[in-house]
Amino acid sequence: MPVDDEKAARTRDQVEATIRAFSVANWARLHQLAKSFCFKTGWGFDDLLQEAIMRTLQGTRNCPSDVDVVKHLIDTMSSISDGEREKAHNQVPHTPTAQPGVMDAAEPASPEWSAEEHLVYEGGRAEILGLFDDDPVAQDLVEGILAHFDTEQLKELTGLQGTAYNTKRTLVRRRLLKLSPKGRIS
Amino acid sequence: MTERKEAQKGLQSLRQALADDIRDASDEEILAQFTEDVGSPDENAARMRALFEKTVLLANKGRLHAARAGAATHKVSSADSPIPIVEARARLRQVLDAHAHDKSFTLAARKESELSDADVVDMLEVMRELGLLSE
Repeated sequence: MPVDDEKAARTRDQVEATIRAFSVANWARLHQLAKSFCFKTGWGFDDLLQEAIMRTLQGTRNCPSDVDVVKHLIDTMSSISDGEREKAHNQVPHTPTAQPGVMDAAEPASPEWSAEEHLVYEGGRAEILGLFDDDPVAQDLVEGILAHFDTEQLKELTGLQGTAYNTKRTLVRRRLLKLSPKGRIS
Repeated sequence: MTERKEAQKGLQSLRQALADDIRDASDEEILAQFTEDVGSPDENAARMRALFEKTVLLANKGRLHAARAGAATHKVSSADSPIPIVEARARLRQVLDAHAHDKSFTLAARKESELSDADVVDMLEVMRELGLLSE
């Protein structure tokens, strides 16, 4: 019986109908998420969202029937943006970081960490942290996230709990979203 | 883990945290912050819905094209196009350049050089239907 197969993915008509019924809040959320994902991809957030919808409609990214369409679009945007960032990284000429004489100049550049990339990363990191110069606790929170701290560790680091912690996360989110046009979170 | 991967993972964590927070925020919170930081959520929704309808139209044309291609019993060469493909590409570039800042087009659609001949012809057809192309 193909019942499981039929349930495997939403039909295109179902996806279209669901998106047409999206609320104003759904669109605002997708707008903000697209903004958060398009950092350093070279894409505009509209382009990213439209591409995610297009791939879903065309069936190159099927939406499983048990997955919410908004969530599916979020995951698809995340996947597309990861791919675009990697593509952008691979197009950047890499300057070897090895000491003179250690690596032949004609040898292909390392695909790993180059001096230029390191500078770009450090500059970007400083810019992100600079957003919170007036708020050391928020700065700690961002540094903790960059260091892969989990929620409990972040709460311990910042000394914040409950509403105070959530409020600080919201402040961080809103300031970071304002960075998006420059695309610094690469 | 290399230094680069470590740094990438850190930034990935930050992006993910940002995305998780937006995803998990309540509708009320999202709408209030959107209004304060970006503008009218209603206008945004109207713009997004219009963009969606254009995307549906483009996807429909793609599906139609695929169906036609599947039904064809012989391959159609570029020489069989209604206009020579070089001319078609030039025409498409012209229209895309004229709408370089139009968010209605996906980024992929704006890269004429990466489109196949069939896609170029199809895209021109869609643009004609959207009224973007004068006869």
